[in-house]
Amino acid sequence: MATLKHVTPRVHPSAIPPLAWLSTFVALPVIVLFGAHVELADVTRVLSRQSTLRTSWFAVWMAAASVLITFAVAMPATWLVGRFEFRGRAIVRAVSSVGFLLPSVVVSAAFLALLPEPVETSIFAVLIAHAYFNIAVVMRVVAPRLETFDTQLVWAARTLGASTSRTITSIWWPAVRGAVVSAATVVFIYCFTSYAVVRTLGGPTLNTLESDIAVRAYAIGDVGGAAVLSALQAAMICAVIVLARSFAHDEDLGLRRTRSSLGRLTGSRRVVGMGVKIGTLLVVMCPIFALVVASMRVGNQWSLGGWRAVISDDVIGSTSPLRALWSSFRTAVVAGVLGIVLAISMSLSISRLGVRGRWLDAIAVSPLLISPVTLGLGLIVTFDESWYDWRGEWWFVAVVHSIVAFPLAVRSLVPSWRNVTPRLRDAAAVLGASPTRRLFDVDLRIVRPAVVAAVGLIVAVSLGEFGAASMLSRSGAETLPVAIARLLDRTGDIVRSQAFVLATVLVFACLAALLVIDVGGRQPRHSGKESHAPRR
Amino acid sequence: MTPRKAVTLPGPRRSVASQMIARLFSACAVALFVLGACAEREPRPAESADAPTDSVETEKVTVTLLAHDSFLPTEGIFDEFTAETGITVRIVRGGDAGALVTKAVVSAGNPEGDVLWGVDNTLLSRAMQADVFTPYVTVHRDDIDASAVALSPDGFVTPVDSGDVCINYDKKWFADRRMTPPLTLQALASSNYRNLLVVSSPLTSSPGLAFMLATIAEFGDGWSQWWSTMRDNGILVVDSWSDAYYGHFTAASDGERPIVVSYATSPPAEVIFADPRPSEAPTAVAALTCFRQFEFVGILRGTKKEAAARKLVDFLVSRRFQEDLPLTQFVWPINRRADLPQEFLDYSLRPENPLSLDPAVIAARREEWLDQFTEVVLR
Repeated sequence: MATLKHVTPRVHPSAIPPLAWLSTFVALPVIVLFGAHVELADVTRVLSRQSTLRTSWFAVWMAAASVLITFAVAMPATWLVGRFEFRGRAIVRAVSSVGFLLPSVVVSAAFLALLPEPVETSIFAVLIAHAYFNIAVVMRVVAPRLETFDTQLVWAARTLGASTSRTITSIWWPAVRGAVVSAATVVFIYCFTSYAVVRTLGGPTLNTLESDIAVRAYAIGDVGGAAVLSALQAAMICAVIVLARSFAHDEDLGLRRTRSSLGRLTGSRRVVGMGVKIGTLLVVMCPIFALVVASMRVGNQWSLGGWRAVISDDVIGSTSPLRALWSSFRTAVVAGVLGIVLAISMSLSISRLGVRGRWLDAIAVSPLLISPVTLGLGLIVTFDESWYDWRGEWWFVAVVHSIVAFPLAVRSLVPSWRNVTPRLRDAAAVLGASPTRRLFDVDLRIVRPAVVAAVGLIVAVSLGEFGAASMLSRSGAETLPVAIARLLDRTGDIVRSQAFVLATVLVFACLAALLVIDVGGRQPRHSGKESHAPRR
Repeated sequence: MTPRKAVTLPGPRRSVASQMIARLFSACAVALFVLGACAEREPRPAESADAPTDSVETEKVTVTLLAHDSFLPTEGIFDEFTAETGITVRIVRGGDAGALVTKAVVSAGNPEGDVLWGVDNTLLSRAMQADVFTPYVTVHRDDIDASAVALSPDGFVTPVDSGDVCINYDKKWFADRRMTPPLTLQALASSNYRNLLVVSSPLTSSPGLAFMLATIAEFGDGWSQWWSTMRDNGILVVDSWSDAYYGHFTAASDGERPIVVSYATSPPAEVIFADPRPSEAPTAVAALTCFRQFEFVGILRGTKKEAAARKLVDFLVSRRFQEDLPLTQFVWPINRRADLPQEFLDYSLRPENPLSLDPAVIAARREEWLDQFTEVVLR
């Protein structure tokens, strides 16, 4: 402990832009909202309510159960993708991210259609849907760590006589622990603050703090009470993160500078691999299949009426689907650009500072603490006049998306910076490379797969995000999830069919984008860079 | 926490980091600039392509109309207004009516827009208490339904439309079984209708709230007793109107419940939005269970464009705009001179004496009622 005590927290210059960004768009709005609308009486009133305690307890155990189920579903495929090279690997990766992209309104509707009567609107439906949504989180956070694992260590241990269980506890687990705990924490927090899924699939009797916040803010109009509840929620998430951190200190064991070569599936593994591949694709594709079917039905008959209307851009009483597609696209692009620049800066400084940068790591997850309702109201009361009256600007949604996706992007980048040995950069410097050249030709090349994965995540979050997009006012710039939710909320078979057409379009657009991103990120592997990686 | 000498990475030289950041940010700025340029070229939704060319005489003002997500008038409906007045209307949607009012309340006096469409009689008092609006009496006041005007006598808001939330039932389901559909709230409590009704929660859905208020208007203090009986009678409470209607209602889904809480205008929507159109609506409305909702439009206090905002309010209650409402929003126009489309009249039912409650009473007791509902029905 002695070494830690003398560590003084430091700031690295590259942390300044993300810190400024978070202070402006997270801290400031929350402070302004609390200052303007919360009184001491609200605190005692809300905390003394019986339902507050009940809701908190439900949210905790429901989220914990969701984490367990998510890992059970996601780990086989994550292992397969992280350790093996096989035909269709990129497809498995891309497809399993789909759940994460789908607007929760749509997934809930699909699950309602799929699940048998006794299970729908129950806690089981909620847990299954949460697992479905978060497969992508586990895969995107844990698989890159598995990819950089050096199998030679396992062979070395085996040669020295270690049993299978010993290799697992002493080599595998320490190497992936950080990533696993990270992923588990993120999944826990997402489920803990789940809103649409709990509402739709849980029925009105199940409540998380997040859904209680929305009810207080919108149905009752009690902004102070909602803000207090969101503070309580933030405190509980903080406690979870602190707890997780005590398990998840980083281990460099078994990590190498670049990806170690992936295994091939041979013999009986081939069969198991095939099973996992097909199983995962089935699980993920089922709700999508249900969507496609729903898009081709009007009422009780098969009809392409919905598709015709969308293609001819003639959707009854709505902004045009093409415009919604375009605003989703531009929002995702801007969020992706903003988000990745901020996440690269933040993760770079976290990894460069080592233990002195721990506090930055904590700050990086702060957006997860804030309830979207509270953040949205805060933004509205903060950026409300003269030149900074940005309410209603389409890009404001992208700004919020860059913040919502920020913790996840930083998390997925931090481990990769550690893969860059300083010596490699020094060698480049000796050979005359300028600092910019070193960054682009050494650092960014090595972390490129992780950067690509992070961009994919941010774009995914932005495309599927519903809460902030529906919360912030916008002019002629509804994103697809908002357009879908609105169509789902209207009477008429054709309208409903059109909603499912748009949902289908959204899913396949995202799938295509992710495939492109994943394939793009894989290319450097074939340029023989492995040989440059020095072994320590 | 394991004490561990962290891998000693050499500290970066400041120049490296700052150059890197500079480069990344300039790239980012260029990207944003390009995107901004693209966005500029996109035509604004409410702007007309053939706006008056003699723009010299008309003053160019843009008025922002805040609305809930269900506000979907015919595209181009404001073109005529723009041509006459030179005022461009920018529609900004922001969530459901509850979210809209909450946002208006937190930004009272410094509004997000100039005019707000869609505060209804269940939310009106909340907005009034927060002093959100500035009064204006429209030039079309005499054409408006007097009972609606009476809800806001000081003219802080102007009524624009009305609709009824009622029990809807699947006609075929009841005909097949030779059963009488439930015609009153009292009848629903009969064991004949056990496990047949699905409603949306008043906590999360606007028709759900209206239906809860209907029971309060009908039964007075005995309302929670009715819900308690209904709970024993197998009522299903779901989250949203669409879950109820499209997840459980026999006439619109594979569900198993032939009675649902929906709008009195759902039957015409079932016909008009069906392909091919049936000759008769598959669903019907129990007229004695209806609760009337009024929607209002108001000028937001603090607007810098009050004169233009007034003209917009006048346009919104004018015949021209009001006649667009039935088939786009499935509500009844408030302007009595507005002509209604025949197909709307053919399938719609307008209850004679709908249930209603004073907005002030709703505002005062809403939280208490919702807590009581949670306690009795959702526990």
